[in-house]
Amino acid sequence: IVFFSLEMQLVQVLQKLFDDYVKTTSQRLKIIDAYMFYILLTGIVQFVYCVLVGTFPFNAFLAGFISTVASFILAACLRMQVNEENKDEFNGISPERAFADFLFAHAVLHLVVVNFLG
Amino acid sequence: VITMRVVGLIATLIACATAEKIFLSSYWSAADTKRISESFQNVLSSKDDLSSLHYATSGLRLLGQKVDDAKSKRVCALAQKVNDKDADALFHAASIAGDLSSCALTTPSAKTTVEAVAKEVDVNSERLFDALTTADRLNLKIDDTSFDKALTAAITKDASPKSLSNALAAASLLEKSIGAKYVSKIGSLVEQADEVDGKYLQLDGGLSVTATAVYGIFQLAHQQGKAPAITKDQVLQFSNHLLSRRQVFADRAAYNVIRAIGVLINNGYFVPASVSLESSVDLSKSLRLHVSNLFGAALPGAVTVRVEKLTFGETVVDSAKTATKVASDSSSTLFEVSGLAAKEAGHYILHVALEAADKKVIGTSSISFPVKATSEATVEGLEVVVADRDGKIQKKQSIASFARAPSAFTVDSSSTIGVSFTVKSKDGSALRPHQAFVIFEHVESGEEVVFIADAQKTEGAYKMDVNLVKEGKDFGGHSGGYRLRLVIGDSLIRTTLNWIIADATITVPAVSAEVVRKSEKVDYSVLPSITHMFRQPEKRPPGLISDAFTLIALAPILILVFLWARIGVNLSAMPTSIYVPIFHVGLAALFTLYFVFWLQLNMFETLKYMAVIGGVVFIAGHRLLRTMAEARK
Repeated sequence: IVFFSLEMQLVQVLQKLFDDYVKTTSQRLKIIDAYMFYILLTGIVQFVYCVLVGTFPFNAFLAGFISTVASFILAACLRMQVNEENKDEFNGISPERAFADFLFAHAVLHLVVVNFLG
Repeated sequence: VITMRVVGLIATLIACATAEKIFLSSYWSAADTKRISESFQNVLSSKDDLSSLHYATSGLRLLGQKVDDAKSKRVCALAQKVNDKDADALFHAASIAGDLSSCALTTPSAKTTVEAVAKEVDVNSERLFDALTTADRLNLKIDDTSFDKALTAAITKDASPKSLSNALAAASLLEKSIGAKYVSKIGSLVEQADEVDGKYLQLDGGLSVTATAVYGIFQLAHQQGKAPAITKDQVLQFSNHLLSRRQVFADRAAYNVIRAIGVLINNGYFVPASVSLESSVDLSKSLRLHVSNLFGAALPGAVTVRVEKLTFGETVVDSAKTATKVASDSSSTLFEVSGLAAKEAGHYILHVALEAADKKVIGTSSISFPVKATSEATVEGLEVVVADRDGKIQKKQSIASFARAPSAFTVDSSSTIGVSFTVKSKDGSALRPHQAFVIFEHVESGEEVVFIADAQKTEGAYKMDVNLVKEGKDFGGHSGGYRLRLVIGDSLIRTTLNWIIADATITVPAVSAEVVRKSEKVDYSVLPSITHMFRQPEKRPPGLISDAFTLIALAPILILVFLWARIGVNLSAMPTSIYVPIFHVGLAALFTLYFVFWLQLNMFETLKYMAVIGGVVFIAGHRLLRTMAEARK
């Protein structure tokens, strides 16, 4: 084991982390995590585009980028609220309620984003 | 001898007692007549209002100018249309009819209108004078007592110069016994006059007030047959004021001035004289004096013009010469005197006195004119010296009077040029001219550089030095051929000297071109025209890249679907409820609405639709989630 290089050790740690994740996370949370990963990718693509070709039209870039950022944040909030381990923290907010809030926030967010998109 | 001296002393005392303060040196000339007649004639052809036409016709009549038939007919026609119930219009029309030949008005109600003016409440003296003039022109017999009452009331109420001057003129048109009551007002009117500079007397209210006052005073005096309570000096000062304003252009003011001057020419008490110097002030020629009344015509009676004395500062140089009438003068107004003994060049004062046989003539003393005696100048001992930097004389030339140097000078940029000369008058005495310059005239460009010759200790000696090392830049970098000119001038030198003394070729130090700042440069050429540049759209990336990235940005959706499939989306746990499809369809509709909003709607419409769809989604979602929550429990 001592003979493994640093890269090999890093890979092993990450592998273990991923396996643990798959085993211990509930399905519901994994769905949300996948969704968050998707949002992240979309945000990165938009940012790379902006860096490459410039910020014109700036409002369009901001609308798109903030849409991804805000969606990510809302998804993070939803994940926190439906996680059974946090049940004591969010006493009185059922998962359905959390999901309803999530939907409402998204409705408002997208209205604003589309307005700013121009 | 003693008796003669006593007589002389008494005569001087009498002369001083009757000597006036000022004399008049201007008069209404033919040029003034021409100027104002043209203006009046213009009014007659172009204006329609009765008041302007009145002043024009009356002014032309007083000046003895003819009005041609066409204008006369036109103006008469306008006057005949007058409404004879309007006192002001009637006044102007009556005067016009009186001024024009063969113009008669039919005014049946004229008498009533005129008499009604006297009965008006608080009527002013100007209106009363106008009404009385109307009656006079139309030969109406009116009630003098009512006018007298109204006039007295008017001046009791208002004793201003305007009111009093019109009152006096009005009183002169009433009966003699009634007019006598107003004679004392002459004094009150003259008291109110303001003296300016000791030379002018004017009344408040404008030029017309002063003119009407003079007219009124003398008309009333004429009616009463008594001299007016006004002194000779006051008459002269009033006349001076009127003459100083004779170039007025307004119709009414001009007419009033002409009328006032007219009364000053042929009244029975004071006829002011005007004495002016018509020739040049140079005593070397004979002096010509113009002696006339205020209209430029000869004074009444015989007039002798004497030169009392010619003074040079305090000394009397000449005295008691009589001026002779100029034989060729038909107007009998020009007098000449010559041969006055003024030996020394300088400024003298000529004192003139008039002796008029007619005792009415005033303004005959205290007459003086500044004159001068001049001399001719010559220049002697003119020498031009060119020396080099060390003072060594390179060339020296003496130039004879009014000659030109025989050979030209060559001067380089390190030399000095000196010019020295003496100015003398023709009779040998030295002169100190006001202007003694040497001008360097550049032949090619015409540029002139002027240097002042400085007076030296000897009276009349002058020297000019130009050091090209120090003063070279005055020449502005113009090298080449120059002409040197000597200029001598003074008010007491009869002929100015402008004498080319030499030619020179001068090399001057170059002067660097003056850099004119762009903001100070004057450029009259056509500047490039400015066309408006509209805002260019910003650079956008090529369509290919943006389309590619659109696809790349949408690509993660596939990854999401794949991951969700891997994780295992639990669709079978969906409850069977009517709200399920409604909720999902509603949600889809909401986001479709947003898409349409992006493409074409505005916020208000979107909110309108959103209210509907949102309501549906909210209710459906709420029910659905409740169902799921209960199912979970």
